[in-house]
Amino acid sequence: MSALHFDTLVWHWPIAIYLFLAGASAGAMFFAVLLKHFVLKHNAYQSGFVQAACIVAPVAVMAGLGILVLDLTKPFDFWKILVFYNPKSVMSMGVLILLIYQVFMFMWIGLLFRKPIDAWCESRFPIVLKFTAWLSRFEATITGLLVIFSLALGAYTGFLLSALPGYPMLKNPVLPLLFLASGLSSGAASSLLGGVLLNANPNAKEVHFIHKVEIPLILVEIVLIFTFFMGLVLSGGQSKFAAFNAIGYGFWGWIFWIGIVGLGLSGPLAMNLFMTATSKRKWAYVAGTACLSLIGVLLLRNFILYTGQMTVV
Amino acid sequence: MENSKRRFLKGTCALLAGASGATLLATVSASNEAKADPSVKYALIHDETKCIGCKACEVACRETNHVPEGVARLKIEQTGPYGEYPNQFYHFSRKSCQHCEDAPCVNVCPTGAAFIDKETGIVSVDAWKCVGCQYCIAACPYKIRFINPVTHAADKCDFCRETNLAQGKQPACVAACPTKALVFGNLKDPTSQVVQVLKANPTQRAKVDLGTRPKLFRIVAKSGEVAI
Amino acid sequence: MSTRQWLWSLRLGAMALLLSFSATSAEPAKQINSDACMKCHKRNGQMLGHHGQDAMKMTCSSCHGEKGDHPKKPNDLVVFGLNEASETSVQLQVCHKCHMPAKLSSQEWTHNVHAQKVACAACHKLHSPTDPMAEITPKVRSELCRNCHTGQQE
Repeated sequence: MSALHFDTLVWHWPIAIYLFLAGASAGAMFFAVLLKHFVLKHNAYQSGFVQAACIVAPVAVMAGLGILVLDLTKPFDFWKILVFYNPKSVMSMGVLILLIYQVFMFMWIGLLFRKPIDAWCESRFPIVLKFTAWLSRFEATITGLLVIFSLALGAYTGFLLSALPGYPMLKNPVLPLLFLASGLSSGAASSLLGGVLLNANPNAKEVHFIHKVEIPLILVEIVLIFTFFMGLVLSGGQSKFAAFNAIGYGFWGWIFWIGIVGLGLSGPLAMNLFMTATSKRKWAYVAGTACLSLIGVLLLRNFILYTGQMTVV
Repeated sequence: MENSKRRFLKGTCALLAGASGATLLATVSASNEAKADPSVKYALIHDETKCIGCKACEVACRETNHVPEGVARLKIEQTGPYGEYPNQFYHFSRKSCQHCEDAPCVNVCPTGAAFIDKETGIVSVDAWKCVGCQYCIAACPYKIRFINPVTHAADKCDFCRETNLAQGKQPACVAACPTKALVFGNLKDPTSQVVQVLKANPTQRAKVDLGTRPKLFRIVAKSGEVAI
Repeated sequence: MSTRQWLWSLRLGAMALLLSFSATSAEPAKQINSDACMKCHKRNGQMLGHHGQDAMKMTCSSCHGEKGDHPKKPNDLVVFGLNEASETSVQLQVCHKCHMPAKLSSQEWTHNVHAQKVACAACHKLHSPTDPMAEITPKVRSELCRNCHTGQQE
């Protein structure tokens, strides 16, 4: 059995990329909201990191959907997913969440940039001002629902896989939580990376805030990964076999220990711990940890998707 | 600030109420559906003690349902040889849709293209509704679904629901079997052959611990290998 | 003999006949077909199959045995086939001189289950230019099984 091609493999890497992008989008929005409400307050739109998050979130979620559509055997029939719904299907509910999430995402981004939008539209399209004024009446609701839907979207990426009863490794209640946590950290990392690429100050208070949240998040991820595999091993049978098959040896064993545990989790964690939350950040440091985090999350998605499909009940 | 918090709380509460109301409605309508008890529920028995591995069923299925080469709705899987020459023998088991009562493929299908026919209990595919996300293929614990290379839709055994059964005939595999190793019929009819055979023989179903409640039964051959 | 079986042998015969015409016209006559037996068996003894090729240096008696009292009956000649043929064990003995069961089983699993119960000639035909078992289609193959397995026996 080869690591990338085997009989029981149904979903290939495009799905992993889709899960990664959806998670990153949800995480970026989540952190943008946090930054605005806990760190920046009114002039949040001027922060490079919030701007980056507001670029990453829509681009990632659209690109993810694009990949998902192209991966269908009938890409031109994708509209049927939007027309026909099955309340029992995780994917169907996920598409619904994804759509509603995008509505709130765009509304929130619109409100975030209300000042520049209003200034630009004042003479050109005065009608827009009425709309933004009307929208701002619901700002708290929009923000609250955006947070709920971004968390739902992050968890959905895990539920999508844990709804597959034929694969003992994927049929695991910890998986949605693990994907939610890693999705959030990929969102944080992409905002940081985007921010410094937009020439934001790598020693800004936003960076300190995100890094302060990131350490507990990484610790939670480590605990979740441990629980995930302990749960499998203690379940015995095919679950135990699947766990050891995934992390025990071979190509995916290396990916797991070196790529995910080493680079993706220990790397940023070690750098965060060595560089205490108050000390001065450099561009390369911020970009480096963010890249490691992103690589780790992308590898985790592929690792879970592929090794999960290797073992059948 | 206080005002906006209250508004946020209101919005969230409204959403939660709406969501729970919707799920409630869904469960109510689902339980109503369950009450409408159909009089037909088809099942199939594969008597492995009678199967000789001729694969006439495979050939008949392909012809009747126009299944393209390279994919199959039905496969006879063979293990062996057991025993010593000249008294060797093989075991044959049927790999095809189990027509689960609680079918994972139907549960995960985002468009409802995978469905259980209410009149017959047959798990079937609406090829037009299928978008080819392959979620059902991944979800099926029996790994019997595939993408039809002609229609690009998910495909699988439907007990010849659209071909032989629609013409009042037995499914193609059942009609083709020379040793009558396949028994097809209505579980709800106590006089049907399928019920008689089920009553008279110890049968097994695959992976019942998953809670899928499959309707493909097998009469297992008496002798075989020891596997631990 | 069922109608299906009868039709099948008719089809085979017709195919063999057609092929034999083309074979005789295209290729030089095989050595085995100038055997002394051919004086009487010109019609039913033509050997066009793989076993008849000159390089194998086979004669009619390689498989059918020495002439003995033939054409008087009883005689010791081996007759291959299902009906009006020699004992299955006698037929098998002839084929097993060259074809080892282990090797046959690696070629095709059905050899194992029929091992000593069925004569080779129940399925294989050696006199026709091509053995009907060579490149058999799944459909023809399952029909062949049906010829004997009719659901009467376990």
